[in-house]
Amino acid sequence: MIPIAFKKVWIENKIANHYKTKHILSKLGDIDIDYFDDLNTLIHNTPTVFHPKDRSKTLVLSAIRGEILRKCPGTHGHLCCNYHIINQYIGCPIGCSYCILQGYLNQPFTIINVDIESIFEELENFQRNYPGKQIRIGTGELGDSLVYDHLTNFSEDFLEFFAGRNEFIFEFKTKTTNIDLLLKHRSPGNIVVGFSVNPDIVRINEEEFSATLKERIDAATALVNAGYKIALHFDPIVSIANAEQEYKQTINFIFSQLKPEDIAWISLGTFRYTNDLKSMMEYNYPKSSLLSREFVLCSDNKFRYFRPERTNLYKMVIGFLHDINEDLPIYLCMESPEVWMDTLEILPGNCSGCPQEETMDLLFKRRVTLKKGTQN
Amino acid sequence: MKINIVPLEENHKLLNCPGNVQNNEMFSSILNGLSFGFKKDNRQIILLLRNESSEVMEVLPEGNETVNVFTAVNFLLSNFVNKNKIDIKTAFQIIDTLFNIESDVPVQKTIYPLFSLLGWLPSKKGEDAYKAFPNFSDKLQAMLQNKKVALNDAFLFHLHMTDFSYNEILDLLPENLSFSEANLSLKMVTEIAQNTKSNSIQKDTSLISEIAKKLSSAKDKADFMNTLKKLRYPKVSLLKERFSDYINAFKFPGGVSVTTDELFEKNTVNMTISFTDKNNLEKKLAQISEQLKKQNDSTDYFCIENLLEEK
Repeated sequence: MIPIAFKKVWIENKIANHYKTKHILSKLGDIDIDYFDDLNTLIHNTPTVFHPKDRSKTLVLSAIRGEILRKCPGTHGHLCCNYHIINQYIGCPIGCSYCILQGYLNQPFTIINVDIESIFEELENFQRNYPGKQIRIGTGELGDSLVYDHLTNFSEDFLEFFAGRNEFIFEFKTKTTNIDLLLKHRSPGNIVVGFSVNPDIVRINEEEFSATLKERIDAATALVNAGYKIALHFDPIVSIANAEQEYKQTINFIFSQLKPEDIAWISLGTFRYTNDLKSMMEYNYPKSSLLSREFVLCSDNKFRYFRPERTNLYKMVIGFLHDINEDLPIYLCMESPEVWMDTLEILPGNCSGCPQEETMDLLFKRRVTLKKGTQN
Repeated sequence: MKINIVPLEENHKLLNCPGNVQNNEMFSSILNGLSFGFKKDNRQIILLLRNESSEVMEVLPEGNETVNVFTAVNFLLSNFVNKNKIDIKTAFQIIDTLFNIESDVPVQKTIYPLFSLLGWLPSKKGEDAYKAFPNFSDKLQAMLQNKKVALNDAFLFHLHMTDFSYNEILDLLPENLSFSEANLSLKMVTEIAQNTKSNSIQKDTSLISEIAKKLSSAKDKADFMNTLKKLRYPKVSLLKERFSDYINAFKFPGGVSVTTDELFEKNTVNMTISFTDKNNLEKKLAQISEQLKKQNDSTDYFCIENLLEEK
């Protein structure tokens, strides 16, 4: 059960009368409300917090600022999957010990950018500027895409917008089962719902308020029945005791409920961290043992498991997935060309140290096109 | 809040000793004897005793007096005192003094700003460190006060190792460790203990003794750090040693060095050959070739994948 209990709401004056602001406030009921003009001033005047739980006590409703549609920054020396992100939610209450947001975010509250029309305007501009160019987009970079959906109803807005715009593939990424609004509608075809998955022992130890694996896969099954495609994110893959048995059981369970053809793509990424995340984890989650394994500093200044351990973890998961079906579309998230070759024995594109984005895009496009054909 | 800086008067001088302050309520005697703050006749006054500053800062209260006590101290610290010169013990004393003043105002507004004295952000993290400090072992407290280790590392070490009598490890730290080496040592010991715990059911104090036993045979500082790194990073250390042994088995001529990515993230191995002319190069290449042939039977660790696959 995710504790969504905001104690205070700050509203940016310029969106005070926005219909989404009013909608969200109507869902929050009786709550302390205040207004502000400048977000940076508000951040400066609010005591620093470190723990996601503390960040989730105060909600800020604001207008989206900066670049709206951004390419995932990727990471130096590692292959990027060419994903595009929209930061609609900033902050997450699920409380995963390994969450990179602890090292990224400096604001002491959760932000919801309410002006969804600005996002749509940006996407329409993209369509005009790059006609026919296919991109994958998601809102799950700086927050869970669905955890606050019952407050915002954004999922319905996205479904309506993306219907018929087949150059976009839009992904909701979540660790929740907050899919009621999605289930009210059939998928327009280019919508993917991505679930982060891990053995339940990882959830129990490291993901305080996420849905259980069974709950997530039940939700995925319901979504498949409504026409949605499913993405699975084994990220972070964690080196745990009995890893083989745990991951095998997890994968077998998932595919006892879902068929390979239900899957749009599967990403794999072993646990990695920055120095900032490490210091946050040590303080916020002192009982987590994730950091005590053998890590090495990679060229992007992130620590990863030592290469032999990393490749063994990938090979193990890939092996179990291939046992289910050899054609499952698997890619690695933020990994080096060497590890791609060690594990998947391919590189996306004619790689000479950096990825060929077009080829990576095609990999996903083919899968979704194939799926659409299959559905029809 | 209004702040008046007024010239030091004779009667103010009397106030720098608590014993001379009659009918006044001392609220702190802080800052290495640099100053005193007190309340007098509903006025809050901070007396600066620095030689170069013979003046009194008078804080005139508006509204809640207690808030002004905190504000006054913060003002003093921000404007008149070099925070870097306040040692950790005094910083705790200041915070301790103010924590004991009753106030309806949340500590986030009164005390948290003072955590900068501990080198911490104004947050609950600072409060946690402040509260944990008295529970540190005497040895750890002494190391902290003598600036042998950083508060953050001492705090985390204590937090994770609190179930153990960790002095056994602290006693083994070589005296001549630098500040960063000492901090790194605390980190590595903590992580070794965590890793061992997570891999086994061993949770008793023998875990510390085992680490201590391995460290106790270290001959000097370098050996101590090396032993600790091997315990913390056993696989990396093993492969580095194996690669090094493999290279050393070749008797390459002088001026030839072989390197690879330090942590074996890349598959390429680089050889650098220093030479003086064509003949010199030819000679060295011939020697290298001869050496390579001699080692034909051994596993090829120039192929990094072979090295990584070894158990």
